[in-house]
Amino acid sequence: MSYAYLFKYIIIGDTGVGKSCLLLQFTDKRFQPVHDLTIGVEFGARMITIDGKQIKLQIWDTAGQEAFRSITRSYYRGAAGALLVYDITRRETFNHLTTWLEDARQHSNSNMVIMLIGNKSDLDARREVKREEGEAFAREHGLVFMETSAKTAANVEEAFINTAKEIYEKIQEGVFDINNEANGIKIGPSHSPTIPGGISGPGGQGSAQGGGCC
Amino acid sequence: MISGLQIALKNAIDVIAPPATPLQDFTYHWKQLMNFYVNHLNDAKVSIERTSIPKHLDHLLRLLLEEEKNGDEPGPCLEYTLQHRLLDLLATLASAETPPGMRLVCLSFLRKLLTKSKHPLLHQAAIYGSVQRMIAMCNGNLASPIENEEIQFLLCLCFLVCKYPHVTNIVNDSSNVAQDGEALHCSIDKSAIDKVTYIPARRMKNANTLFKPLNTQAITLMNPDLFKTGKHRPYHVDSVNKSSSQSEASQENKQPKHVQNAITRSNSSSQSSRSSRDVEAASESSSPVAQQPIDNIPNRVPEEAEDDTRASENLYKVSKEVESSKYDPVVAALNDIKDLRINEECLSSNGDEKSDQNSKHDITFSSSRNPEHSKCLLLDSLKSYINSADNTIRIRACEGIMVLASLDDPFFAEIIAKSDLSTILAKRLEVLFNLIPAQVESSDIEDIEVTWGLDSPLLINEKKFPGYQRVAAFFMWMDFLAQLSREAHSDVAEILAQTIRISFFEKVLTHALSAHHAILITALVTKCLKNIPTSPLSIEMGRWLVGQQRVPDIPDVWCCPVLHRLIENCFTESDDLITETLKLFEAMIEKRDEHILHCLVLTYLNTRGYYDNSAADSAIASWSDEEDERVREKKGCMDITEGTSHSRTLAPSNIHRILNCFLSLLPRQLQTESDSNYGRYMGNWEKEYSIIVKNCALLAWPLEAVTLDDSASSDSRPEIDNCANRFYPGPFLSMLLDKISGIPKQKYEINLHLTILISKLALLPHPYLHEFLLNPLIPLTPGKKSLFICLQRLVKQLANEVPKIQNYKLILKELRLEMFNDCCAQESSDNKTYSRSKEEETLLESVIIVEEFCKELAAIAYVKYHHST
Ligand SMILES: Nc1nc2c(ncn2[C@@H]2O[C@H](COP(=O)(O)OP(=O)(O)O)[C@@H](O)[C@H]2O)c(=O)[nH]1
Ligand SMILES: [Mg+2]
Repeated sequence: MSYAYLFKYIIIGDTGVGKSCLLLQFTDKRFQPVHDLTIGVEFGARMITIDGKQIKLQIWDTAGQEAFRSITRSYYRGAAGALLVYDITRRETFNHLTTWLEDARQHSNSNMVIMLIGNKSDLDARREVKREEGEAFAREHGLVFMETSAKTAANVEEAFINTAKEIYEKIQEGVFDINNEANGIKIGPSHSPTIPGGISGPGGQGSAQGGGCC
Repeated sequence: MISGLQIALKNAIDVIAPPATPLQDFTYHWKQLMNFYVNHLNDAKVSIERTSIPKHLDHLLRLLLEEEKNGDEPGPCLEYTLQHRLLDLLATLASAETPPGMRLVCLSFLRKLLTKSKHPLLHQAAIYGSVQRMIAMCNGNLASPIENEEIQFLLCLCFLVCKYPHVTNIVNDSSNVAQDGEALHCSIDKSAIDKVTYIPARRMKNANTLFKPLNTQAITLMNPDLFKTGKHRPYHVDSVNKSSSQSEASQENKQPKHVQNAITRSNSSSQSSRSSRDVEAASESSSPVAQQPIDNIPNRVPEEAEDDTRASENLYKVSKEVESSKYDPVVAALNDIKDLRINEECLSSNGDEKSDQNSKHDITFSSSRNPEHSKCLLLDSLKSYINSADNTIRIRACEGIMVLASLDDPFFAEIIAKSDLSTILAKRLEVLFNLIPAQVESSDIEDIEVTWGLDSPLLINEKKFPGYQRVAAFFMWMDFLAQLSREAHSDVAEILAQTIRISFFEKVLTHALSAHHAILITALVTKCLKNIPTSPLSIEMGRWLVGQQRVPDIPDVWCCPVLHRLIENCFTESDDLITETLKLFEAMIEKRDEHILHCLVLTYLNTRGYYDNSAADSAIASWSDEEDERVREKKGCMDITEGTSHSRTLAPSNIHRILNCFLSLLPRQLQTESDSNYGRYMGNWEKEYSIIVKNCALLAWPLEAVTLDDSASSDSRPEIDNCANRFYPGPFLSMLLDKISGIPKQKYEINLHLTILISKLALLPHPYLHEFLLNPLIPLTPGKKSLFICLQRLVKQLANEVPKIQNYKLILKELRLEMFNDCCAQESSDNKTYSRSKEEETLLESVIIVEEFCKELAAIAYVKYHHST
């Protein structure tokens, strides 16, 4: 299918917070209570529409396991967006957010949009992390925040789509260099960009940062 | 023969006791599963989908997982599984692939059990043995329709190794001990293999590795208390399996001496259909017996198809003994690592034939048959998939390797470091490199997306230009190696990086840089350099590029062959090669690698030999007469810790005079822009400079350029003595200055990249480099050139020659318009208003280049000044 843009996402967070379920809910609109443990990196894709434009989301679901982070780090590099997930019923998954965030910031490009997600909102009775705490963390670190439930599908669409909107806005503002695929954004096959900041200035082959000589 | 199997199966069934419900259920399903074999002794070729085996296995798995919900204690089903070694039998059936498809089902069963169980099952003797045998069945060198399940299984083991780091020993391949009990116990496997499979002897001989004796594993538990309730905590005892024929036979055995209770000998070869158990059995008798042809072996099938509980009992006895001896296996192992080396001749010809016959890979190369193994069964198995034609399988194998290599366990890391892993990985790089077609355009290289993971361009099947896939495959692998060297345990990473330097960069690339397709090669090297993140590999690449030696070269004596070659390449006839090489140098500068910068430029400037000290006293311009004595005494030793002090070298108080030097260098009549607008370059440089300053802070460069005291220098560093007379800017800077002089005759592209390169050098916050490139006011040692001197001479030449061209002012204006509206340059070149020859055009273009370059230099000088104040 043709698309105007392709955005690469990565889903990160501790094991068992519901990353794979969120992905499945978003791509297949179903919930699978018993999910195989993610080992290595898995992949999902879905088309969405923003501003009348078809956008393909290519989503990388990672293993939360510590030792698998070595693999995850390779995927940060090409990601335009990240969903950082914790489980509202397990405080330790919230406590680990800082480590995840550091890892992500260190290995991704600085423009990557990060969405903080408190998952399993359907289990309000067993809640260990207050909504306000999530909000506060997000504010402090400049993230977007949302509570979701992969089980009831609450806010799942929104989480993925709002992240895409944010990326889209950054493209419009010219923050993202869409010609650099390392940013996790690709222009669709049949799409000519009308976005500012695309073509480099005079002396095109001079490197973008250097400005070139003339 | 048939009766052997029957007895075995009967035993497996008979020991069942009738207890509580889940166990009853469990044994029922097990019995049913076994019944298949009893009923199908002669026609076990029916495909597994048509049997009830998968269904029963599902039930068994469900029951095992369900009983876990009842508490932390292992439930009766698990105990039953362990006690009766059900998994062992499954492994045997899987190995025999009876019925067809059994292996797939067993792999999946075991994977699910291991990942879903909350108990760390892997260190149970009854489980790891089977697991090891299953690992050994996973061989990527053989065509297998179930590759995917195999790799999933291996990855799941990697996961478990990370989850329970103390189980690394389990996946290590050391050789097995033939303990009496175990040997007895193994009769089941043996008979099962002998009877249940229907592999014609001829095929066995050549191709079937399934039946090569497996190295089942000895284990040292690092944390025996892990499995809290494990009543049976069997220790296996490590030993050396002196197998003369098997490639697995260790070359250096790392197991503790204490535990070499038994040294087994066997002449097993991969053509043999014996299981490892047979080997063990055989090894009890002396070697001549073991050397009898395979066909005789079955006769020796012991009547000892004994109750396997007895076998386990024996094993437990052994374990008690070992336990009581109370040694620390880890310490012992580490102590013994150095002196215990058993060199074995490894016979690999059988293996070779096999990999040839069964190869289904895109690439086959000799080192895949390298007989060295890592002693890590799991790693060896993963390694065998890295040449898989299936990208996904290969990436999974890479993931597994990365996980194992990054385990934070020095003992395990050493095993990996000493293995042939890095050789094999580097070899593949070479093979992929050699597959790149020579017609690929160097200009296409730059835009290739480089990532090794599942999002690699190779998987998307794009074909942007002919040969794209192959170039992408090369970079995909390079990226994996770079990431691996970054993530791996430092011991592993270093070996890996060095191996790549020696066996790829030095062995393959060095030569290629002077060969036929040097342009493409240079572009490839540039791309590699840009994409390799700071890591042991980037360090090794730097060493390859500029050499390992850190002392300055003497003029015309070359130490580093690669640097030498690159500089030679800048003086060839080929404009494209020059351009590509300048781009490579640019990438080298941009890398901000301490070693590269040191060897390329800094080592030549650090003595300040270009600076004329005698003239300094009379010179008003240099900052040095304004500097106060306090600064002078510090001799440039100030470092970043004194972050508040500003460098007076980088930010001289007479900055405006300096700017003026650059901006008024070109005579008015040659300038195409009246207002000398250098400000437009400032924004970019400013942004970049603040990043560079941050990056370079760690390099601890001196803050000020100071001349070392004569007395001090002659004492400590005689070579500096009289350095002024011998000042040599080094091959790289000399080349750049030569190229500056050559500007009027060089093509636009070359000049463009030359000036970019120098600008980037000038931007570095290094005081000597700064003086040499950006301060026209310093007193220069007589007879020596600085950048500014070269520019002055160049301008003089231009001022002489350009006015000879008719209408030069108008042509300059026209050219400027063309150059700045890059896109329409091509079309407009046809309708030139003013005629000029090619040479004239090149000359005039160079005027504009110089004009802009001077502005750039002014902008940089100002940015640095501004940043420091
Ligand atoms: N109640 C509830 N359970 C969830 C939700 N999301 C995931 N789970 C459960 O949490 C467990 C772990 O989910 P999984 O997606 O595998 O986590 P991952 O390791 O982060 O990929 C599974 O058993 C899911 O059924 C949710 O939104 N609500
Ligand atoms: Mg998952």
